[in-house]
Amino acid sequence: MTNQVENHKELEAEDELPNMSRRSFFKRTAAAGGAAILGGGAVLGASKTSLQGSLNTPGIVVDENFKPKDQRDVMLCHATSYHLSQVRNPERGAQYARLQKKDFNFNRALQTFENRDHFDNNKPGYGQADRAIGHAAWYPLVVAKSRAAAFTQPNTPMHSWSQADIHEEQFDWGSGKRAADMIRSTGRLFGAVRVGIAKFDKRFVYDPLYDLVEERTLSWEKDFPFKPKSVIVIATPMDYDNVATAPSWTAEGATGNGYSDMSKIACQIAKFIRGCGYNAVGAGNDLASSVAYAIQAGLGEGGRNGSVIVPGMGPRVRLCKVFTNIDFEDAYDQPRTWGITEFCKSCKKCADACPSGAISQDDDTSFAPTYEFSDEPDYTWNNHIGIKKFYSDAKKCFNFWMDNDTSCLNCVASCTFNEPDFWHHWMIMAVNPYMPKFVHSLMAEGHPAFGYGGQSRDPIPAKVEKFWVSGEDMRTNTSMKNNIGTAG
Amino acid sequence: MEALQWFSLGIISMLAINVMVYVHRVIDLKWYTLPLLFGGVVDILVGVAWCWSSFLEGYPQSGAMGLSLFSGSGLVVIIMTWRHLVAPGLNIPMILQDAKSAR
Repeated sequence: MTNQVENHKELEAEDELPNMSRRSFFKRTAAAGGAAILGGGAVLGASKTSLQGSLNTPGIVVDENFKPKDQRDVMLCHATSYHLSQVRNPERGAQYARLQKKDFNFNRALQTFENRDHFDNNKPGYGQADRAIGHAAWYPLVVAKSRAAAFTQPNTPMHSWSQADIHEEQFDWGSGKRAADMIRSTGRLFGAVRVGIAKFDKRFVYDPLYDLVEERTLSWEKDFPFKPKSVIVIATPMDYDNVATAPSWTAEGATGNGYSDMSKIACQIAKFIRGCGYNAVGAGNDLASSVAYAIQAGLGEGGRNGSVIVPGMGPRVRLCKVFTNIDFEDAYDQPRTWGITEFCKSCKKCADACPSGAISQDDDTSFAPTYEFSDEPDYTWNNHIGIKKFYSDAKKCFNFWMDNDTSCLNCVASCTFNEPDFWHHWMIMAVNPYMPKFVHSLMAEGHPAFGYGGQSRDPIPAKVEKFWVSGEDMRTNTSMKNNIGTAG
Repeated sequence: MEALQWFSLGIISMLAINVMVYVHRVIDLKWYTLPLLFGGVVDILVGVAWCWSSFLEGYPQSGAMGLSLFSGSGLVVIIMTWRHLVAPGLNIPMILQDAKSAR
């Protein structure tokens, strides 16, 4: 009893203190803590909203010169086809060789691509294992006789136009949104990191199509098996550490694996849709411009390097498509902006890192190429003129691939938006749209200063070594590191 | 490791709030003092979180830069605010006397 009285007296004494009432102190601390939690929640909510992107964008802007791209004028298609390169338009190769002052022929160079046995185990990124990982990465497509889809060949075995296996009963999706949700979930299951859905837009398909095997044009109206209504655009990731080894042979691992994933996922989703009773044809680089459709499907924005830049991944993704006759009603995605193209105007990291100098150094986008020799007659045959964007000289890019005896990826690795999947990079992405031009320049410079990107025109040996030891703890993988670059 | 990171940052945040509430109770501060202190604390926490995450993702250079830029600037803001706005009103002997008389 005596103790209780003393305790009561003590409590009264505390309440009388002018500055140090314990009860009041904890009350205020709790209030401040609550306010901090609410403030943090508000910032998180605002960030998530920002990361959804703004619909306040015209999407792809075209001028009066715009018309759908003839597939025969796509760089990879032209170079792969003997007929196009050597018979129909031999003057293109001759003009390039004359202007660039080198003995180079697109089609001839491609014949031995990635099959020249000249590895050097003392040269980081160009050894036997570096050659082997690229071959292994592409191997599923070789086995499936579908690698040509990467060179724009339509109707390969994995992306067959055959609709013979469509189920006779059409599944009732319930609504366009439900159909979209189910297809996105299927895509996620099969390995996609992004799935967007755009309306079929004749402007951004290749027209006419071209069959590289039979060397003949194909028509959407007469040859394609159905009239598409929608295009499902799927992004599949490339490994951060492997891409960082660009432009070495090691980086072909990410490229080939990306293409194998593309074909697998598009093939699987197309099969799923046919199993639900609807028409579907998968596509890799064939049928249409993947970048244009990815922008239309709200996956990202067009970047300086010609790729679509996806928030959170940058250009470190591969894109594939599924053409279908499903009508998604009001569930179609719309083009969105995250301030990425605006950022690209201040950042020229990809152009600086490009070994062939193919990427534009312009300060703004344009409706036609401005690169060296672009005023020469027909020199810009490979570009899709009439779209407001940065124009690259794909001929020089292709030339470097052939010289390097593998594709490159340096523009992807050096991109300021190419970062591992961690919250602090998402935070930067969320504030990016609200930053002025000079902050964009600071951010572009800060990226290599923080240790990201920082590509040189030759492979960096330390990055090659870092990739080769990146699987060190994969037996248990307690960090859950995956091929997106996530550890969480 | 990430869970430990957020847990630690939560504890640091709560301690920082305690200090700010305490300072607010014992000193008659100008209206902009607390926002400055709060901004500095948030800056330091962002730097620490950035640094930790950068090490987790395997980019220690980013961690060092984050700590220098974010936590460094936050530290400068807190030190300046403390020296010029908090310390002049902080009478340590009187506070200790108050604490003693409360016993």
